[in-house]
Amino acid sequence: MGTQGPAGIRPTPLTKHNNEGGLYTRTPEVESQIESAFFLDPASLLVRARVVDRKSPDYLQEECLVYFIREYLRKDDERTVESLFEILYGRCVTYIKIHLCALSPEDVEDAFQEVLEEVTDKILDLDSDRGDFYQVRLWRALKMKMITVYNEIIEDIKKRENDISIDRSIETEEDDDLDVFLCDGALSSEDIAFIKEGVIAIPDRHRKMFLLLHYEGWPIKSKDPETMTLSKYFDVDPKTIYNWLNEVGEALRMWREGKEK
Amino acid sequence: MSMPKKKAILEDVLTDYVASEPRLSHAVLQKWIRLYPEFTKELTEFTVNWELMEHLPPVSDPKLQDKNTLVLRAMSIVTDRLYKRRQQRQAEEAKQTVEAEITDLVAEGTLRGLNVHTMADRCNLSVPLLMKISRRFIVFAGIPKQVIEWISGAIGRTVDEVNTYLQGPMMIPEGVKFRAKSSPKLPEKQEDFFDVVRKDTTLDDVRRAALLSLEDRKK
Repeated sequence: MGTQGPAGIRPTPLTKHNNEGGLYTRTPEVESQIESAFFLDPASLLVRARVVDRKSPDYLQEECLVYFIREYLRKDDERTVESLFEILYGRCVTYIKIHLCALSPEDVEDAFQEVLEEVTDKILDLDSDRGDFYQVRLWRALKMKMITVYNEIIEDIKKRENDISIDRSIETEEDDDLDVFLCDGALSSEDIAFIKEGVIAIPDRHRKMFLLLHYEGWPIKSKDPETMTLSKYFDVDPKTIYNWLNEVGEALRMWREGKEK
Repeated sequence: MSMPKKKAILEDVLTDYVASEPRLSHAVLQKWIRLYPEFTKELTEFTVNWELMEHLPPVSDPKLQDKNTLVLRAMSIVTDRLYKRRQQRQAEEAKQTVEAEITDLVAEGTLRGLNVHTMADRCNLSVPLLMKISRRFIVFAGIPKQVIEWISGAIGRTVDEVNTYLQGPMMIPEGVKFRAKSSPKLPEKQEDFFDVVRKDTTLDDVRRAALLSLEDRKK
């Protein structure tokens, strides 16, 4: 099966513009794969699409599969569209499910359904260029979709339950000399690597804060009012963040002791 | 700004954000908040969860079905969307066909293999009466509903389509214009259906009585 496309064949260009006015473009690898599969009949295309070895010259990236799904939809060849979707989702569903589980184990079923629906709709939408990003960076587009769906679900839950999760009761402490177990720069890289394994031991409500602080370097507070800080993000006093860190420290200590026994 | 519009703009902003930045971080977030201050909350929440997803270990969900089951679930969505797309297209095609169509009731009958005599018979009308209806020489409001249903049944079109056609202006079919020695003229005004029935000498008594009985029902 050849991978050299006929000279001069170019896939239908994308039409979506980015915020600087430039057109979205597929990667050269994806363009080249599309060109090489351009004149294949549906059966041969499906054979190539089923190649799973990423190093094989016949391998077609996921972005390439999206391109052909749309092309065959234009031709009203639903059977090929369905087969290509099956191959595409065969590569993606576990990734989506596992990552949604990590974000929100309780709402994973709803979120999974919604992500799939929105991705399918975007890819099948031939009337707009809203699905162009799926031909540029599919995995990033999936991740983005997972997060936006997750955020919407959380927003809905908040609205429904009117659940304000801020614990203001512990903001009244005035002690500046808090016993901070973990704070900016206090952990070595070995500690961080070790603790990464123990992230699961951190209570849900503090896990986010802990990761942002230690893995992404978010400041707890800042003199610059424009700077996004942990205290601003969680809408609590910086001292509350320190209190949370103490709780995290305790949880990790117990986890470490349990592991050493 | 309406919610769907705001959502669409936000989606564009987030897509650009993810497409333009090789790695999302606190510093990059600051830059984008300056670009889109109206989306500070959304950009922040998005970045936080993006970063969480980078660092949280994958969770082994006890409910995590095997891959084939997950693919089947995804494929049920695809099948559903393709089915809906097909339905929508068929409906649009049907609508387009309908809109382009009825230009002459008698011609419609001809298209379906009915000559004017057969069609008049199917509609329980005489040929002259059918021709007058087809040319819209009869006041629409006076045509009994039952007659419209007969016509609709004979030419295989909906009552609404026939109604729409009958409410147009009086007309002389192209074929009549072509055959006439002098240019044919339209009547000064439309006639009443039942008056025409009464004057129509080609109608037999039984059929005339049946049609006139519709006038009583109308009253």
